[in-house]
Amino acid sequence: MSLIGRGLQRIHPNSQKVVFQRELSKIIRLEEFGLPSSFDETPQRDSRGSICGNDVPVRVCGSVVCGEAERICYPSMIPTHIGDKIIFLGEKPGQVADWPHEALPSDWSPVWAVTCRSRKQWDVFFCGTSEQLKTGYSADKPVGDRSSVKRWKEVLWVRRKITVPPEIRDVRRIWDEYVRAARNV
Amino acid sequence: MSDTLIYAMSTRGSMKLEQFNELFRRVYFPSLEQVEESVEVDVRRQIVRILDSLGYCEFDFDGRMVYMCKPVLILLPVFGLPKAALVGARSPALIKKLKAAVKARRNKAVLKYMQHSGVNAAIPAALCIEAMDVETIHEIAGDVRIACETSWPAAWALTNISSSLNDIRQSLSFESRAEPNWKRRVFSKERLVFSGYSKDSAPSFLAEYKDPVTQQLHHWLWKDGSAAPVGRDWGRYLFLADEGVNILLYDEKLQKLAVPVTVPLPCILARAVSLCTGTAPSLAVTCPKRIGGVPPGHSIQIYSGIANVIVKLVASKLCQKLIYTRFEIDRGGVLYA
Repeated sequence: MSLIGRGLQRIHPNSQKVVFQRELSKIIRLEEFGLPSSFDETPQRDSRGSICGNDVPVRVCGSVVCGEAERICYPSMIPTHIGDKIIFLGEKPGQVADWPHEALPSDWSPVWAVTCRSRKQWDVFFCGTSEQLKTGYSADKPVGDRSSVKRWKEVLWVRRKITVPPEIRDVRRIWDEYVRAARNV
Repeated sequence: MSDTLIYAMSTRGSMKLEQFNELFRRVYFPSLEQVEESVEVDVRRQIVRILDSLGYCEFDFDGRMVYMCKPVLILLPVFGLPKAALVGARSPALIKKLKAAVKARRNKAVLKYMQHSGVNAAIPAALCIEAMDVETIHEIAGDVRIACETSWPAAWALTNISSSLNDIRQSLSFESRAEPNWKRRVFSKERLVFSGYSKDSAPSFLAEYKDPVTQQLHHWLWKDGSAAPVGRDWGRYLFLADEGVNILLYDEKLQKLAVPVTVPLPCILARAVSLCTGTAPSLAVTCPKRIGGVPPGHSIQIYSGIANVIVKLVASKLCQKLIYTRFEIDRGGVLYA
């Protein structure tokens, strides 16, 4: 590397020496850019989508709603769109629903949704509450008939080697607690 | 997918529309001679719609300006673990910081690159943080020094605050007006496009007039000889609602919503459905059979992850009856319903 080239590398790793003609050269220093210090100029829109001033009570800027909008709680739903075949598992052994062959549970809330990606691969999604994340698995008596308890165990324990656990470590730890519990059911 | 355009735009807080067009051309069509102007304009319009609906920037067409929105993590309306998408301006340094902040909390959070459906080189990569709780998302936003909005999902908030067609209808002032002698096109409820050819006998119609001096488009909704100026996006839905034409297709099982490309959703509702996943809608063409009010072989945009409660609210705001159907898209991108 030439002396100039080595010097450039010290200035910035992305610096390049551009030779325009045989004897004329120019050093272009490439630097990472920063974001503007303020985005105060960005206009806001009213509920119709027209650009408005700050005097409008409810406004939208990009994706954010600002102003005095009444917060309406978003209803949580059971995820039925994540696969064609989903097995929902509850926190108690025996709480299992093989959707769409079986109806969605009405007397218990699913904690896990296990979807079939292929015959040899199942994916796990947490679909419980924040409370269930905090408490993890708490040993509970089985409910339902013997076959339901067997199916609950099968999804958790028997298929554990072909089931891809959740990516987040703390969630995976809770999944592992369920798997261990299923072993002893 | 590429972040080049959004990075270039993010270097400035605002720019003139002409500067954006030039930037777009330089980033995506470096050798301009090879691209037909009409193709470039079509692609650019599509990108503008998507960037706007994903909340990256605000396009002020009247002021002919483009403004970047501040970077913010917004909550997605999903089940289970909270997920937040990064929208607004971004830089390589910001992405680096975000990755580091998530890595520092690897027990509690992961960073995911979400796939945009369809292939579109101009749309920036959709980044999403999945975490154990919203507090973790706030901590990450704090580390990166960006805003964080988790009090309610952005899609749900936007759907709720959006005006409805009835609000728009009530604000219209129909007056007996003389029709301008400017170039006119009329919106066709059969073909869902503005067309130069129209039957003069219809008592109600939506007309588009082009000012010969400024080239600005004006839209008037006509009813029995009286007319009211109306925005183009709301105007199309007003006309279709008056005519009883339903064009929104919904697959409840897959939670996908199909909207004809020629009848895009009004701005706030378009943002609401786009921010259900934070990804761009995919494009398809309907099968050679009419589906509700959607003509055969018509281009449609398909939005994913649209929960039942959101789509019902969107449809009711637009006075549309949802057409419930099952979507099957073949390899050629043809939607059979």
